[in-house]
Amino acid sequence: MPPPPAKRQKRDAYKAALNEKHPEEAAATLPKKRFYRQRAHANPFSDHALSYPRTPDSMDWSSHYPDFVDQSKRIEVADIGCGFGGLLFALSPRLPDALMLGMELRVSVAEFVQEKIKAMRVQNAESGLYRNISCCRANSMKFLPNFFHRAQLTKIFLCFPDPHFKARKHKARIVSATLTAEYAFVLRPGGIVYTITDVEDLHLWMKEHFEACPLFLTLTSEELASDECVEIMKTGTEEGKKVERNGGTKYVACFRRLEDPPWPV
Amino acid sequence: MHHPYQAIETFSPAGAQGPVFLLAAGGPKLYAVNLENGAIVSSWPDEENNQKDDNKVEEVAGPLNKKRKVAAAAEQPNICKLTVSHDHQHAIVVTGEDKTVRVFSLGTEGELQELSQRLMPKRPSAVVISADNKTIIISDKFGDVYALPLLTTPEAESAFSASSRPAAPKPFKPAATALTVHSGANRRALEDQLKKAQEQPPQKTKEALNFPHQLLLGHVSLLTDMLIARMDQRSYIITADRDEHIRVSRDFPQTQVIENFCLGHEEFISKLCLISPTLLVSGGGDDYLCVWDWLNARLLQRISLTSVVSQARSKVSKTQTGVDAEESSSAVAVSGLWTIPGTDGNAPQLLVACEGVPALFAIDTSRLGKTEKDVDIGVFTHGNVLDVAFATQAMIVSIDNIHVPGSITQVDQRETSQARLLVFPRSLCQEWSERDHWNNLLVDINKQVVVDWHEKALQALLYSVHNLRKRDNDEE
Repeated sequence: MPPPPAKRQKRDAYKAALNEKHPEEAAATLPKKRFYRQRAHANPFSDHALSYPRTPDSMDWSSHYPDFVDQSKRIEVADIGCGFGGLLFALSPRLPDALMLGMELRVSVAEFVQEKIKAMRVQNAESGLYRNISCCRANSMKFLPNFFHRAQLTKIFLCFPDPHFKARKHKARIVSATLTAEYAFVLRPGGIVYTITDVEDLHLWMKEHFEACPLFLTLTSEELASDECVEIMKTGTEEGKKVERNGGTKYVACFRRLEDPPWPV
Repeated sequence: MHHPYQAIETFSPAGAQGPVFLLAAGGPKLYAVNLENGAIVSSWPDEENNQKDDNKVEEVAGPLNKKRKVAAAAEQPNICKLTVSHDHQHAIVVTGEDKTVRVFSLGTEGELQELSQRLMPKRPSAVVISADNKTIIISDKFGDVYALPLLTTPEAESAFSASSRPAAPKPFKPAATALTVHSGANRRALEDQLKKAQEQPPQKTKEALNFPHQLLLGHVSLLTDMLIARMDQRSYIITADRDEHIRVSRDFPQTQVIENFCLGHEEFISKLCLISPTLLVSGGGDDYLCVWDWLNARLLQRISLTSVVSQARSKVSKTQTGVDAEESSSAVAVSGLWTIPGTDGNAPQLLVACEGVPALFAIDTSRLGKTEKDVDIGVFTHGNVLDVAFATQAMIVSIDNIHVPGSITQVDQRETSQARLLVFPRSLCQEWSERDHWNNLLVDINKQVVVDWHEKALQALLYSVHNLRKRDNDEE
C-alpha cells in the first residue's frame, strides 16, 4: 500500500488538532483551501474510481439535503465543474427553494466543498441558510444521465471550464458538438444553460456549438441583463473574482432549451 | 493449424430464391463461398493485385519517408466487422488497424468487388446500414457516430472537400491572452503556441475527413454496439457504451434529441439485439442479459447466464486438462447476440455467445420480459464460438480452432486440425438429415489456408470484449 498523499495526511493532522483544541467549534470551522488543492486538469475520459448512481432513482439524496427529505423535491440546478463552490454559496440564498448540486471531478476539491457546506450550515444554523446546496464528485461528461431524469433541471452552470487549448484535447472540453444533446436531455424546455469564461476562444467555441444545436436558443443581451443569475455568476464564482483581480475579460453566453422539434413526417 | 474465421455473414444477391453465399473473414482476407456447391467463388485481396501493391509501397518507402515505411512494413490489417446491406447488393468491411471502411459490391455469382475505402478518424466499433440502403452509420471507439453515403463518386468527394476547405488559412491567433487565468500547464501550452506560430506558418493540425460524412451523435465513452429501431413509423438510433449506458436517440436528422437512457447494467455493454419492435436485449460484462422496453426505458427483466456459462466451462475442464483455474473464473463477456426466426409459428430464439466459451446458449423469446426465462445450452462446440451466420435452413458457426476450448489465452497443442466452420440446423433441437450435405459444402473453405497467425495478434483480434472491463483504478 502506498502511503496516503502528504496533503491528505496534513489535512487529517490539522483536523485532529482542531478537534482536540476546540471541539465545540470544529464543526463550524471552514476548511482551508491549501489542504485541498489539486492540479487544475482532470482527464474526463479515464475511468477513475467513481461512484455514481445506477439510475437517477437509485440515488439517495437524503444525506445531501436532510432538510428537504419529506418534500419530495428534485434537484433543479446543476453547477457542472463547480470547483471550490463559490457559485453555490452565492446562489443558495438567492434561490432558497431550489435544490442545487455542484459536480466536480477532482476528489479533493469536491471534498472541500462538502466540508465547507457542512461548516456553513453550522455557522448559519439560525437562518437556515445553505441547506439547499450540496456537492458530489462526479464525471458529468460521462454520467449526467445517471444523476438526472429527462427534463429535470431548470438551470445548468458551466463556469470557467478548463479551456483545453490544444486542438487534440478539444473533445475533453465540457461543451462539444455532441455533448449539447446531453445537456438538452436533462434540461426542461425553458431551462437555461449559463456559460462564462475568460478565454475568448473557448467562449466562441461554446457559442458555436450551442448555436449549432437546434434544441437551444441564445439569450439576447437584454435577457442577460435581466437575469440575476448572470450577475451572480460574474461576481460570485471564485474564478470570476480572480479574473477581476487580473483585469481580464469575462465572456458570458446563455442558451434557452427549446421544446423538442416535432417528428419529421 | 489455420487462421480461424473471425467474422462470417451470408448473402443472396439474386434474392431469396437465388443461391446463398457465405462471406468469411480470416485475418485480413475475405472469401465468398457458394453454399449450393461449396466452391470458393471469390476472394479479397486479389493475390496478384496485392503483390503489385506491395511493390508500389516499397518504392515509395525511401529512407526519407520514414513514417510510410513503418506503415508498409506492418502486416495487412485484419477485418474486424462484416455487414451486408438489407438488399444484399453490398458488403461493408471494416479493417481495424488502419480504421478503414470498405464497401464491396456483391455480384449474383458471389463476386466481390471493392468499390471504395474510407479512412475513419477512430477505429470503428459497429456498423449498421439505414433501412433505405443508402447510408452507412458507424460508431467508433472515441464515442462518435458518423453517417456516410454507402456509395460515393470521386466527383462527390472532390465537391465535398472543396466546400469544406476554408477559403484562406486563418491568421494565427493565440487561444488565450496573458490575462487569462492560467494553470501552469495551460500557460506552457500558450507559450508553445506562440513559439510555434513565430517559427513556422500554422500547420493543419489534423487530417480532416475528405469524403462526405456527418457527425450524428456522441458519447464521452467507448461505443460498443449500435442499432436502428423503428416504432410507429419513427426511427431511432440505439447506442451502447462501455460506461453502462444505452442511449435512445431519434434517427437522422434529429439525432440531438435523446428520448431516454436505458440504465441498469453494472458492467460494460458489448451487444444489443432487437427481439421484436418493442423488446431490446443487451449483454456485456455482467453475468446476465437485460431485457428492455427500450422506448420507455423500462428494465423488464434480467436473465442470468451464470449457470449455463459454468456448465459449458465445466464440460470443457472435464474433457480437457490444462485450462487454468484462474481463467475459468466466472467472469462473463457477451460477444454475440442473434435472433433466429421461429419455425412453424414458434417464437424466435435468442442465441447468445460469450467470449472464450465453447457453446451457444439459446433462449425461447415467447413471453420474454413477462415470465421468467431459462437459458438452455443450444449447442456445445469443440472450440470457442467466434461468430454465427444464417442460411435458409442452416446455421453456420465459426469456431476458434487455435485456442483450447474455454480459454482465450492458451494455444491448443494437439496436432489434430479442427474444422473452423460448423453447421447446425436453424431450429437447434431438431433432428437434421441434411447435416452431412451441409458439412460437405464447407469442406473447401475449411481447408483453405488463410494466412499465418501470431499468438498475440490473434488473441487481440478474437477476444477484445473482455478488455472493456474496468480495472480497479487508483484514486485521482
